[in-house]
Amino acid sequence: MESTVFALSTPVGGAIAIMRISGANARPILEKLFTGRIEHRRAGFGRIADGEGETVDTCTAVFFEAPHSYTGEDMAEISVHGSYAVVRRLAELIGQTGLARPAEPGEFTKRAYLNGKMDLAESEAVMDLIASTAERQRRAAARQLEGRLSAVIGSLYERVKGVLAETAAFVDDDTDEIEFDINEAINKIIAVKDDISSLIESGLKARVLREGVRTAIIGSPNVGKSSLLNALIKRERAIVTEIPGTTRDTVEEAVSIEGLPVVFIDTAGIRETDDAVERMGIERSLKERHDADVVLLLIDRSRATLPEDEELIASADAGKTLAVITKSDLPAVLAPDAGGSFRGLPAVKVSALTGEGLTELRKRIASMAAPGELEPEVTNVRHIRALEQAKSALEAACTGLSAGTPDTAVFELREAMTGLASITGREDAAEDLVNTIFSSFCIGK
Amino acid sequence: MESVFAGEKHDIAVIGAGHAGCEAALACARMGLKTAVICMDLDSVALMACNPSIGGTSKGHLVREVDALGGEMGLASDECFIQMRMLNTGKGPAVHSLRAQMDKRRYHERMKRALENEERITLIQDECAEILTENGRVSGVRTALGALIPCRAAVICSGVYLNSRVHTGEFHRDRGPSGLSSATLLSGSLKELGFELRRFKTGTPPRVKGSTLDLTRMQPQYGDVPIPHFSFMTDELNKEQQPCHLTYTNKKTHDIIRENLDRAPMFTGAIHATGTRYCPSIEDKIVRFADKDRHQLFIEPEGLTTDEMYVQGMSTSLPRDVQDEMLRTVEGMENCRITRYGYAIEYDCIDPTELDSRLMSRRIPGLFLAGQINGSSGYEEAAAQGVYAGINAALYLKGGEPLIIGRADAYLGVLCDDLTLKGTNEPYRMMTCRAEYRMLLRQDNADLRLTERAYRAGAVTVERYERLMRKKALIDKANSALCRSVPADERLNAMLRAKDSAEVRGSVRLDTLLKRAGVGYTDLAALFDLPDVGSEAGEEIEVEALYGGYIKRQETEIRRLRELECERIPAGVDFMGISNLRIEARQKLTAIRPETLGQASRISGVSPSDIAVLSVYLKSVSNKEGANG
Repeated sequence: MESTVFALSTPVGGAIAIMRISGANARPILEKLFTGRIEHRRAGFGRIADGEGETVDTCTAVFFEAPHSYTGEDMAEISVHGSYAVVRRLAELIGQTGLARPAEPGEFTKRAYLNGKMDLAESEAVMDLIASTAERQRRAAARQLEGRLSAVIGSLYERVKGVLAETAAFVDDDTDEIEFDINEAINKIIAVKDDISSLIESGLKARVLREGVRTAIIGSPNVGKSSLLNALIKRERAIVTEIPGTTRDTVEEAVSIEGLPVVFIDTAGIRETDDAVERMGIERSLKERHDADVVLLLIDRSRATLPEDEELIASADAGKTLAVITKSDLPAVLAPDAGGSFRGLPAVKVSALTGEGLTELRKRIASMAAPGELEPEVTNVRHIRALEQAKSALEAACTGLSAGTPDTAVFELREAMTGLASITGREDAAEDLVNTIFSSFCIGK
Repeated sequence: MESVFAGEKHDIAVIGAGHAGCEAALACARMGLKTAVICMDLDSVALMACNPSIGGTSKGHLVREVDALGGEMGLASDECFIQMRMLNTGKGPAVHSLRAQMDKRRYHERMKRALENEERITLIQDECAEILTENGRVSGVRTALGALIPCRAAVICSGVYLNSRVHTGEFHRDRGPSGLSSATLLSGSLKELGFELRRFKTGTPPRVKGSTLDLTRMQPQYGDVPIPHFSFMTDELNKEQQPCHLTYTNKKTHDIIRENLDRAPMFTGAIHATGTRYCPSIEDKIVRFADKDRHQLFIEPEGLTTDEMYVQGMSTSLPRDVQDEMLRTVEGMENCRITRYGYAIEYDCIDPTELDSRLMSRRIPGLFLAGQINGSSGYEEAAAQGVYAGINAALYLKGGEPLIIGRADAYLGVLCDDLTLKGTNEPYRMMTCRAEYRMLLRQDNADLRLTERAYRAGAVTVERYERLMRKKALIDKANSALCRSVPADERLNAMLRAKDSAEVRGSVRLDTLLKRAGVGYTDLAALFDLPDVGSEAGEEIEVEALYGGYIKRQETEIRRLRELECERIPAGVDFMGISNLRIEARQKLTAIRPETLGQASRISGVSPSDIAVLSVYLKSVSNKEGANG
């Protein structure tokens, strides 16, 4: 029986992304990850939840029972929000079930054909499609891998290969001729693993460039969040009233600041409330604060701080929070710290009404959000997945080495190499490895 | 033309009686075929022309697999060993490897006797001159003495003898190993049959007279007690074992070699063949690993009835005088006398990608090849190919389904798959890192992996099969007894403390305890009611518990592999005509002609998308046929 495969069937970055799963395990996977109803050809609405029950996204999912599907096998289509993080997490979760593997180029269409969903005349077309899809992917990968990234992956690969060669030679050497320092090998593996981690992180940073710096505007009600948003984007977008609690949901606007795409998220004001709808908005605000790259914490200087303000200041993530002291056109009740910060947070004084401080605010946002050195970006979901697989294989290799079972370490290091090779599209590494062993070690009785 | 005469008709002819030939002949005869074994020197049957040992890393796995398939190598080793050691015990159970030092003479006698004991084997001292064909199939063989022996299949196991040439310094002669003749006739016949011949090279170190060595200045290495064994049919071994001795080369040795490099055939250009990189000559090692200030040398007895000793690690083709001089620089060898000088040997072999997955020529049905002629090296690699080719030759003649052993089944499968799909540019040596499913392919479970299939193919005895069934039953029984929780009492925790293992509270499942380092089946059996299973089944249970996670992961991978292995590629497919395949893939597929999509996927130069295209193409072809027929 054919194994179950999955792939994203829409480009990342659109509003909606569709993950397709085809094969006998499509239903079990859906049952594991999706909370909604699963019925043939009916869209169910629910959540994608991870192992701990944490929601990844709300979504719709459609199940097609074999043979009434595109591929002729059981199939599921999960439509999630097109954000990079969501898609990546979903792919991760599907992979972790162990019930499916990523699809190869043109594999869905190939299966459709093999299962008799297309007639003979179409087989040529299917072969064309596979060949061209593979070629397109190869070209896309080549483009993406031009320059530093390909060099970076290549060097990680070589480093893993080096440790693997040492370990495999040690394992294959039955005369104890080879000197093998287990701790040194472990240290080398940890160093590669750390570099892979930062490569994954850099992928996340690179997302900032493409999807924009998420900047959440947070504060107690009527502190001037919507006014500030309108001033920053220079047009009336959010509804501004004197009535606290007007913004009950989040509002997003994208603008360019100092060449960086910045997405402002105007959030509902934080306060104690009995209004159920408003409370939902507040919860959403707190989540936005958590997810944002930059948080603008607004403090109205024309009045004494409220308990809500105190709470927000106390719980602020100092690394990404900028205190914005609003209504600088009104008489001040609050005073800044000596040195211009506010309660230990970096601060800027603005007036949405007069425009005072807005230029300074833009500069500060840009400097907080700009990724430092421009690192090579790994943005492809499949690549990130491969890196994460390589990383966990390296962790297991260290365990194997310290537990006195280097035979398992050889297996894991090989997995790591395969993962890295799949990013650059290198060919089978086995012969490569044997060559490395022979060129570096003198073994064999 | 010399006169020819009709020889006795046989089912099959096995050419050569080295490690491959003996196993091939025994397999054929035991499966009921009348088998002619043609060997140039019957005093050299199963000759260990190089090292006096069998097994070692990954090679020990192969010996166990040969045994599990009903072969002779494991049994003969268990009888003729003078030392047994389980190697790599600190590196994880997947790579535990058994090695035996052998009494060479006894091994030869024991193997020759095994051939003689088979009623269906005719041993003939002669040289094979020609493989005869009719309508493209094997029809007989012609010998140097003029016999035309009719047969419907042949297994060529010519080792390193085809047009072989030895080199020691400035001395070059057309002859075989150990002063034996070279085979000069068969290469021409192979060329006529369309095989492209290549030259490979290997070498051997000098042998020395033991009484001229000072072994007290070397480090002795003793065998294991209790004595481990190769064969799954062996119960226990008791014997006085002989030690080997470890010493080292030094700067002086290296200086002498360096000064005389210009006299080494490898460097003067006298040898054109490709040598092995894993078992290099000492002059190779000095050049390639220039920063190493010493190399290990093992002094190994060649047998109990001789004082000759083998200097493992000193393979060389330097001139005689240099060999004397360099050996005498080694600690404990200052006064040593060489009895046989080291030499390099080059020989003809074929490109194994001409063979199908059971080692039969794709062009000439009935013609099988096994051992060094296929570009491999080593006794164990040869024996494994021999038993495999022998079984499949018998199945071919009897019209049975071939016994296909793949990469997921055995090291033997990896060996044959690598040789026939990837080919090799140097003598191919088995290594554990070549086997991707090595967590499953362990030396302890070779019988569980192979014996049942071999039994169904008719290759192993019912005694062996029943022995396996008993072992399986014990494992099952123990495993179900281990699937229960026991209260964590003081006796259990005392045992765990003694093993430096964390104590448990409440209750605990027995099989989870088995995953812990140092906790064995017998430790648990001493405390709880568990069946007595013996050491073999016990080892199996422990390893499966320890590596359960890995085993599951590898089994998943193997299922994926099998999907592709089940998709057969019809013999007549015109790969060049499939326009959606990349040109490189078309050429590679045409040259190697894989039998399944799985095989195709392992050919370098064939991409996953080529495989997808190919599978659609195959489906469209079969649909067309279905529509027409």
